[in-house]
Amino acid sequence: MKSYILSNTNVDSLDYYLNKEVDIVGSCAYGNYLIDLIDIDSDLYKKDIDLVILLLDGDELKKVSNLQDIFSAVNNFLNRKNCFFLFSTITLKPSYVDSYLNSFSYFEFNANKDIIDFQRSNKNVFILDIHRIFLQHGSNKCLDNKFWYIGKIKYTALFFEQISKEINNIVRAINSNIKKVLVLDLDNTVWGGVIGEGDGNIQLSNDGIGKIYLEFQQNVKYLNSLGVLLAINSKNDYEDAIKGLRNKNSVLSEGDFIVIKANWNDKASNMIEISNELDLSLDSFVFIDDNPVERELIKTKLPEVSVPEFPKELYEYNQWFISDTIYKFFPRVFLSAEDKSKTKQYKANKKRINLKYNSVDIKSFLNSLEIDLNVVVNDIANIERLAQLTQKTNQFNLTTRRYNTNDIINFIESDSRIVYSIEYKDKFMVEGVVGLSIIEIKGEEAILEVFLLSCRVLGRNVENYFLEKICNNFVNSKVKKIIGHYYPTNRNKIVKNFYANNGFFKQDHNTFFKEIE
Amino acid sequence: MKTKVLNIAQNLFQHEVFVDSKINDFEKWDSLGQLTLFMALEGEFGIKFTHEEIIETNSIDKIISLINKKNV
Repeated sequence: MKSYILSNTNVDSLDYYLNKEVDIVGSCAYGNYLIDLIDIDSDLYKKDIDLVILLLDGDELKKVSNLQDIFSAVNNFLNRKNCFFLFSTITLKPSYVDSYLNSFSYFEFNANKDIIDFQRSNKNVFILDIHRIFLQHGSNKCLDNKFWYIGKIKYTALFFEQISKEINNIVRAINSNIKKVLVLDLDNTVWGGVIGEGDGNIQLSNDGIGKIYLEFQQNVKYLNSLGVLLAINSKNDYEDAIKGLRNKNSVLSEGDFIVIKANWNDKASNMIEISNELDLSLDSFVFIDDNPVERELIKTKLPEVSVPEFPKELYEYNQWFISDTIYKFFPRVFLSAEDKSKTKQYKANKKRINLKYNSVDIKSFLNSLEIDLNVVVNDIANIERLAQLTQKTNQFNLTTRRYNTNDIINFIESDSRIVYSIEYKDKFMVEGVVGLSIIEIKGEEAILEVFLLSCRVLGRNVENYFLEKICNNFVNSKVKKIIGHYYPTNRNKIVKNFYANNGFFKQDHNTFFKEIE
Repeated sequence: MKTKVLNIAQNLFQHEVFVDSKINDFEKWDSLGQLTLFMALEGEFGIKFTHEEIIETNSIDKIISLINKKNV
């Protein structure tokens, strides 16, 4: 967008901060902004320009000019030239000679009110809210006296950085170069906690941590009403996803989402399916997930998708979502009637094509994660965690046997049982103990009484490695046969074929075995 | 610190910058570029430069030794 900069101070440094979308083709000579606006022979009139940016410093304005003169100059200019105009709000320096005699906030307030009224009566004029940037960062961090006296530059690098970010966002909004779909994970993203674990309680309420997620949902709902489509891409049983969205406190409901992918496929494949079903390209997608491994998968496999970093501090979640996600990817300067009914339109048009499976090379991705697995025998130091895993794990759990810490201690001390556990870490995080298997030795048979894995690390081949390690452990021992059971519950369908897929033979409808060489 | 300085200069000047680069080596490192660079350095390192330092310190290696001196 060809842009021309007008200001009553030296803001040419902006050129060093704006991105390529804002192409600066000219700026006024120092102090000449009003002359350029009036003089029909100025570069401002002669050049081919899409956008004019007027950055007004309040103190300089207060000394010399009258806002009404500026408004009529801008009106005259816009009558002759068809382009967009970005008009800044103003801020005054912190103190004045007349100290308490006059209220400077009064001047600021009135000037800003007039500027915004002017903007509202002109459809090609938008506001560049400098005043809010000062509020956020403070005058001391935005103003610099030294560079003012050296080079008539009022502002600091921080201010130029912030104001450029703002201009970049607004230009993207004017160009309608914004994202269309917000794709969300569920557990610890849309609500707190893991709905598939334990008794399925989630944090979503008006209190404490639950309120963070409740407000997040309110923000997402509002964004949806501004024409952003919503989709889910999560690793959950579909029934659990729906259960979460039907939670009595949930602001978001199934109907708000245009596509819901809640399954155990890798998220990159899910993302491609969402894109195909909506017939929207991946570069119009923004993906939010608390899990760095999932984010990395999407970033490496589908680089067109925008994947913002998750905030380090959960309390900053909503602030982060608004300033780093909405402003960056979904900024708006206009809203059409059509925008407001986007979800409905897309639902009507959604292509229900039968998809061929889009294969994503997961293996190379897993290699890049630097996964480090460690199988531990009789891990007496972690009995609480081992008991907790039996209590909480519903999905990847072959037998769903629940034990307390005393039970675990008894198993560890018993001669007829071996307790295996597996620890996981990768380049992003140390998950600690994520899997458990309890084996009962009966003569020449080893029976897998428990085999489970936390769903946090599903889809990374941890389960296969774990089972293989356990089986290998019995090579050259008296054990000749390993037996595993699958006891179906309404939660553990994903492990139905686990033993069969790992080289076990079916003995009867829920018993599988493998001979040891 | 050296890499930080090079990164800042590179981002501002949109040009490859080396330790022996100096003012007027490329289009964007003119007198305005010089001021803009020092504004950014003050922000990044939390230090202040005098007017003279800003005028005289006009190459990357001089800038690096100046910042080193200030940190002592």
